[in-house]
Amino acid sequence: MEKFNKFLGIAGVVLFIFGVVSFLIAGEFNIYNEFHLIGGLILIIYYAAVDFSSLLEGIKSRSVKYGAGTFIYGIIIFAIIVIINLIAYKVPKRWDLTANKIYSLSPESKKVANMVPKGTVILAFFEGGNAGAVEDLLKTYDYASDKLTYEIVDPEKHPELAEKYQVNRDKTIVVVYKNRFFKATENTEQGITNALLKLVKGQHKKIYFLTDHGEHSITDDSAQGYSILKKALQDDNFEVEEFSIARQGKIPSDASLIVVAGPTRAYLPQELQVITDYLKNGGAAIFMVDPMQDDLKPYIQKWGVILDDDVIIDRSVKLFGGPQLGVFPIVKDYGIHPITKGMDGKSTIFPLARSLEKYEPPRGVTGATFFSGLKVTSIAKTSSQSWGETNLKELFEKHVAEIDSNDKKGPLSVAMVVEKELSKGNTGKGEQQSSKKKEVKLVVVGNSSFVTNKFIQSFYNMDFFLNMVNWLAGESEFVTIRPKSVKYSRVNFTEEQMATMFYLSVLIIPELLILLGLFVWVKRR
Amino acid sequence: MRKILIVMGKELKGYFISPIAYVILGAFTLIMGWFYFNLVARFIQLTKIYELFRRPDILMRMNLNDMVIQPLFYNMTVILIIITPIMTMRLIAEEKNLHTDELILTSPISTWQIVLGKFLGAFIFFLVMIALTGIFMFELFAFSNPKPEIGPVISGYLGIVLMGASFLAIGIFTSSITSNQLVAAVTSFLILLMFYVINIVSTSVSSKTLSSILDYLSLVKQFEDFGKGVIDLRNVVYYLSFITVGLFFSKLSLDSLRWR
Repeated sequence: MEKFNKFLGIAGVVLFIFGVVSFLIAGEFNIYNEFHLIGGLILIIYYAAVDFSSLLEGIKSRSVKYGAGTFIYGIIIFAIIVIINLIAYKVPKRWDLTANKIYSLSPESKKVANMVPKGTVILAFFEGGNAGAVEDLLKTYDYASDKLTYEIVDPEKHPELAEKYQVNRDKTIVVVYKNRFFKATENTEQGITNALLKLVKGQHKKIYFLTDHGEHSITDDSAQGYSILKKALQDDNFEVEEFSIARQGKIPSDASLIVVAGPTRAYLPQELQVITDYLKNGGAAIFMVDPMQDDLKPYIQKWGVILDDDVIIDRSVKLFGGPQLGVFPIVKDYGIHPITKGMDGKSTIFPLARSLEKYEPPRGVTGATFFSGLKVTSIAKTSSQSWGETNLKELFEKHVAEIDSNDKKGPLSVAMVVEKELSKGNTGKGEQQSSKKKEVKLVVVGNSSFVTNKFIQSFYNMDFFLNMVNWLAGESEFVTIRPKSVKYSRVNFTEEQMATMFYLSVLIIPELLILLGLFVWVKRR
Repeated sequence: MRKILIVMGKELKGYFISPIAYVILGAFTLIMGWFYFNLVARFIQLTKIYELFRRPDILMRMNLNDMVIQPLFYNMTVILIIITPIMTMRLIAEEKNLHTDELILTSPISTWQIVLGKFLGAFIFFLVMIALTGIFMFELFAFSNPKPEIGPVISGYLGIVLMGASFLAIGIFTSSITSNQLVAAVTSFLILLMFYVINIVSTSVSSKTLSSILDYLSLVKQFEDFGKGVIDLRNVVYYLSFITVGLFFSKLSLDSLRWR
């Protein structure tokens, strides 16, 4: 009976321990841990009550005294070790032995990581809570600066956070400080550092899409809508809104860019004046005008660009086999301009476009354009086999297009940039506020459907538009950091080398060892 | 100090005159060699495939460090979990078996010196075993062009050494609490296994601190940085702590023999 009681007592301890463990895992009391905790306690108390005398004697014995002493000794040592580990955790020091230092931050990023306000958090939204290699990158930021920490958030477990920070896609990183946040444009060191920089310096830039004239709408998610474009712009840290001049008045002062997206009805002269006032004050705009929409022709001409009355036909690039009309020209030539710096070799497609030309005002006439000396550059040209078909009736009724003497021969411009410096800024040393250089910037495109939901994901259309927006409204990336990777290495063995290698490294040493072992064994007998 | 070295020397001798040691060394190098060979063969095969399919983007990222050396180290950690208990099982349990433990405990050597000496003996044997895998690295560097990075190899070995020493410390501890070598080996194996997988549940656990504690305790997670080529002081401190705790508890257990 005594032994059985002892068993119950120890069983009680076991039960209790399991109860504690399951409580820690579950985080709450449920029937399983309640049963174990209470049951365990009952058994322990039972044993103590029933066999109290032997328990008492047991406690009094010398071995228990020694044992207790040892136990406490052990606990103290353990506690010291834990404290040492905690200290080491707070004072991190590491050596990156990789050749390209891929697990360390570049010095620029380190600087930026220490410029952010203390308490900045880098949130990484990854489904399943696993960020893989990206977590290595986040760790380097965490290690480099005690002003920021990182957290991996599973958007499915915390949808409210995903909504709060406008996270639309999996694998998005957002840098947050209090109520300011910016998305990293890409999950690389460059993307994250630039997002952190925006936290330090900048603000969200605002883009207004004008409405009320049949323009494409950013709230429209049909094939003709711009809803995907809106999301892409938000991912690039822009705020996007619709704006109606007729109903809301002047362009707000926080507008970094306005977009006129393929209107089908005319703008009133007052509305055009509002736009002109905004632009003359150092604004930026994108005008996308489709073929046969001629209401804006005179206005655009005053900005130095002629909208031709044609439809570009380009049959040189065939998307599918067989004869085609060629009314969806593909552009591969982007001229020389900061907007198209990264577009080499990347194609864009413009479904039903009109060509553009630079407008040279007649000599001696003033006021033909808003400013004299406008700098007009083409940033997208079709191939030299293309032409601007002017016989639109035949094109749309008979689906026939042949080049004739009226038609302009390619290469033809589909998009052009207009720039003019309005005033030089000064950044003198003694001044607190440096006035920025004022300039007016416009991009005119002879097509508005290349960034509709139907076409925006074709080729590099989205990149092209984003580049335009970033040049017009945003600041170019502050920092360019080249991605680092493990040095690439290669090994090549011939067949016989493989065999030799196999024998040498895989077999021969174990063989020798086993022989040695046999020798030793024999020697001992 | 000298007493420690004496114990260590005796232990090492004990290892190398026993045929079991050679079986262990032979088996370890055979298994690691098999892994090594397979990893290299796979690497070469993949290189050929991607050259055939003309994927320069993938070829640029293929390298021996990520695809051969790092996986080899990870495999080594798993094999060590199985092998080190066998290496340590006899260290103290055998003394109890042969009843030479009373002899030792009454001799003028302190229990601390006994534990350290035996640990060092096992550690040197372990180092010999690990050093044998050096031939694979040597071969890789000799025959490759361009060569892999050496930094991650150094940090990888450092991690293996620290990790292995932790395993040995646990092994000595279990050997000290029983006189049955088999029990010592199995218990050691189970404890190591537990610390190897302890972080698997960390994502499902409710409290954040518990989750990070579990992650921290994981023997294999602390190795990750070493495998990648980073020597982080925190990981080093972790392994040294593990060794200290293991050896300390062994000493305490040995002490308890004195008054039991």
